[in-house]
Amino acid sequence: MIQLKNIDRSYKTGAGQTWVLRRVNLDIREGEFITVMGPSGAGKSSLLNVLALLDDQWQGEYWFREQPVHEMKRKQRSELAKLNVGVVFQSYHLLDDLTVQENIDLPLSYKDIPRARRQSLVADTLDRFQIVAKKDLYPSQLSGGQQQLVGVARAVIHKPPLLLADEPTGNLHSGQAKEIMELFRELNQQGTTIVQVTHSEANAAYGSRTIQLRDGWLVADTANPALTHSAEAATQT
Amino acid sequence: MSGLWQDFRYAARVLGNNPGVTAIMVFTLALAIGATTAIFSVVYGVLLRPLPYPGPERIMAVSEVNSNGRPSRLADPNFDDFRDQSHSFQSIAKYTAEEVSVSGASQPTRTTVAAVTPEFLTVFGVEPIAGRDFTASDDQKGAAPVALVSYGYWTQYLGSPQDLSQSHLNINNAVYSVIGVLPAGFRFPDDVEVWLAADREGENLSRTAHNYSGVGRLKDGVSVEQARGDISTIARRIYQSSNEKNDYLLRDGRVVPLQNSITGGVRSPLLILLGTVGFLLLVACANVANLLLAQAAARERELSIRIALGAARGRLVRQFLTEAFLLSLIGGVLGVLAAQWGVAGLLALAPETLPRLDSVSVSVPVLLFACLLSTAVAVGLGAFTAARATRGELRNGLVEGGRGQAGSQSSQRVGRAIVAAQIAITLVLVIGAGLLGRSLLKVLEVDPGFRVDKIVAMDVSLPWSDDPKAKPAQGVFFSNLIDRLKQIPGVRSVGASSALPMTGGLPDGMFLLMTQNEVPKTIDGFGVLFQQKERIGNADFCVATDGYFRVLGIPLIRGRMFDERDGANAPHVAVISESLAQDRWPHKDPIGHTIEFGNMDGDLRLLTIVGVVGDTHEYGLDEAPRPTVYVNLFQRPSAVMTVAMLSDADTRSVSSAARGILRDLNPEIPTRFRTFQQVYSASLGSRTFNVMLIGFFGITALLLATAGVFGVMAYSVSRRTREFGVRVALGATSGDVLRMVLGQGMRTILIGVAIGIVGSFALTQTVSSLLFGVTATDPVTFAGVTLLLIAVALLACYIPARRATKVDPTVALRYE
Repeated sequence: MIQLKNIDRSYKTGAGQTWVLRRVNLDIREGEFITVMGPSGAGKSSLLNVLALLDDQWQGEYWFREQPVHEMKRKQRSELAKLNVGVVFQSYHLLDDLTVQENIDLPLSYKDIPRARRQSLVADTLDRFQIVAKKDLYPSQLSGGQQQLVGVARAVIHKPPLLLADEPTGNLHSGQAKEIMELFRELNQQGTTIVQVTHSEANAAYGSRTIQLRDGWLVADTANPALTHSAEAATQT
Repeated sequence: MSGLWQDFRYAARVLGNNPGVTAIMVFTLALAIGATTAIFSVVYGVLLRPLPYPGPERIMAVSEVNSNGRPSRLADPNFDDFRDQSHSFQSIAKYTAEEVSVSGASQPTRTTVAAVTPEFLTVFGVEPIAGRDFTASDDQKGAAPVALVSYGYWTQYLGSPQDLSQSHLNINNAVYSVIGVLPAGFRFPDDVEVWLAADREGENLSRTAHNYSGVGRLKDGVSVEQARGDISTIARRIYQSSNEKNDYLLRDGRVVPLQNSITGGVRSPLLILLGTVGFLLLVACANVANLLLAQAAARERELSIRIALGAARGRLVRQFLTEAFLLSLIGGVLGVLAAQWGVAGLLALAPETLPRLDSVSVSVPVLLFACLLSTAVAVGLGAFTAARATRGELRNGLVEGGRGQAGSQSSQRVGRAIVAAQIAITLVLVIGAGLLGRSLLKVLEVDPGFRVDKIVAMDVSLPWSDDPKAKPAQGVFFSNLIDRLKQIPGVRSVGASSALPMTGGLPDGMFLLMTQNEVPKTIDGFGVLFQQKERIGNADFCVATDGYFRVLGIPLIRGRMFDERDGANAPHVAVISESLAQDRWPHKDPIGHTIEFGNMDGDLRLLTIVGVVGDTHEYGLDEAPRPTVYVNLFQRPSAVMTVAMLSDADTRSVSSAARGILRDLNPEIPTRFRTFQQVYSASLGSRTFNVMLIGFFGITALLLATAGVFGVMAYSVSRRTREFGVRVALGATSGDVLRMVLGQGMRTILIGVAIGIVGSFALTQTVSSLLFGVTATDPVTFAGVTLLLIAVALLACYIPARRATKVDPTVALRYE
């Protein structure tokens, strides 16, 4: 589904250049459930931003379903992301002025979908996530778990093939976290490719593959044991 | 006390930590408080400051009321009846004033001289500082001529002698002994330097010759209403019993406080100005309120910590009040300093017709007003900010995480409401300015009926004389003067008239249409003819030469102008204005008809109409032309004339040459020079003054409101960075974000515009008396200003909206 080849990402700082991703090579197959782990500052969220097509300041090659993203203009990338990517955030990032129903409808409002169809999709999603009773409530009236549930519903309403989750249970207690992770498992079983960033080993266990980042380098990949040894060697030199 | 000092120190630190924002707030407040104080100083000096006489509230203006229901001056017999029959006044006097030539002092001068009855000074509670007041015997017919002089005239032209017995003045061919000097500062009526006894040459017995104004001091215990009723009763009695029942006979009497009488005509425009600057103050305060609101929202955490450490809500409120007070104090001080310059500017721009300008200054009452105003602003802003900042559960400010930003949104809503109010007020102001501006343009479009440029005017007052033998000499004098003035290099044409247009008007009266055969043998016969409505007409009376019409470019419509046939001993002729011809001789030719207009100058000889000339806007471009009868100076001489010279040469050289010629003919006659352009501009003074001021306030309010819109939008965008990041992450394009932000901004603006339009419909009626050629709801002005405001506000929204589209979602969504 996705091939990343020699992806580099850096920021200019007063001291020169800070690298957050270094020569990252990664292949993601359709239907995988990948966990990205690593210490703070390793580049996990940066990698997710690249995958989500939110960041376009990287160098290298990015192939999405054999389309060369690295050769696309910003508008084309936005269109690609709109259709194919859903994002779940640690801080939920629901809009406080909108109800649950309106928050879920938000991604659809930026697509050319007729109103009736949108209403139908929203209704289906509310039903699917069993939050119909809460559709007229505002985020401030929901618990953390409920807010994240809405965040997940919003991310998948347009049935994206790729779902990205950045610390989705970081603000939840264990019970709520388990509910969310079970939901992810269910979505994955239904065919959605999922890439999650997490510090939690328990959450990582839901995935089928784990990759490790350190100082911007991809140092380990359970799907590629050979990578671990060569990466260790590279960091020691 | 130490808590208050601590609040004060902290307030200074908070304001100092944001120097840019503080400077903007202080400047805004200084501008608004300064402008309000400056305008108030004019309002106070002109309208509110008591007249500088003892018990000024007891001094009344007494007048007649004419057949149109308007106040008019007093006729001698009517004044006598008011004086003798009224029980309301402890003293009452009549007065009139004119500019005449006065010689006998150190130099001849053109001086405003008043004619008054003996109780005049008693009414004002004033006594001479040297010499004596008039007595009843000084006012008798045939009494020796005596005069009182002002302190300024006494010092400047008489040399301040303590012994007045050697001081004499030549006025209108009579020698007046100076008998008294009035206190410094007393000059009532305006600009008067010399006072003479009014009836030394006898009274005019006609009850329709309105030559005087009246003043009276109420008796103790008598109210204004009682005095009004008293005078009204006497006036009605006069009307019922009079044989002169015509349009010029009084219908009623009027008593109003003298101060109101002096300032009544400018009360409305000045109060409108005060209201306008009050609106500006509101707009400015709204801007500052929004800035304070934004600062308070950013201090939510600080407030939460204070509460957590034990601060009571009242203590927080006091802190905000202290900050607002400090801001207003600095703004107020700077504002008062600015008001000093503002008042100087206002006095320089003020029209000459604005009364009591010498009373205008930044006086103690004005400073008190500024102090109260600053305090009110401080309390208003402080209370508002404190109420917003301390509402709700402040401890929530200590909670981390994304549980919502209800407080910030509430602040944004209030901010938008304030901006909408600003837009509404600004719209009202700018529409008002627009209406006045269009009125001025409409006035300027009016053809005045005469030329304005390249005319130098010279005022000449010969000594007045009732001696019939002196009259021809006046005609000869002006004839010689005009002939010599024509020789000045560059002077193309010279003429004279009893008054230039727009200099205060001409005397008016009733004339009779009659032929030579119908001339009555007795005076009573004229009275009978005046009862026949088909014979009478009303017109202004102007003495002029043929050159006058050439100089001013007044066209001859029909017939002929005065010429060499119209000598002093030839049949008297007249030229009439076109509107008079149409009014009294509709569809007929007035040429050859005769009229009698002797009640204006005492000459009962008939006037044959020989020509019709174009109308002139004698009283102002915004007043309709009045019917006018012009008589020939050389047949009906007058002592007081204005000589007009049409010249391509430099004004100064013409004036200098003309002054030399006049001195050569009679060194005792002073003169005054003006250009007619100056006269014309002065006539538009009030209108121009109003337009400039209200226009300035309107533009300032527009700038402040634009800054307000920009500020609120920018603040809103800065607080919604996360939201924009989420929207972009969910698929929103730049266009979607731009449209959303602009749309929200425009909603606020359009709400403000709608309120402003409704407000304008209601409030512009208050300026309708100042308008000309446009209605108070002129659609062109309303539409134009509305579109302008929307366009400017849209521009103010656009920059923050563009900034919103630049939000990087990866930065906005980073977990904090």
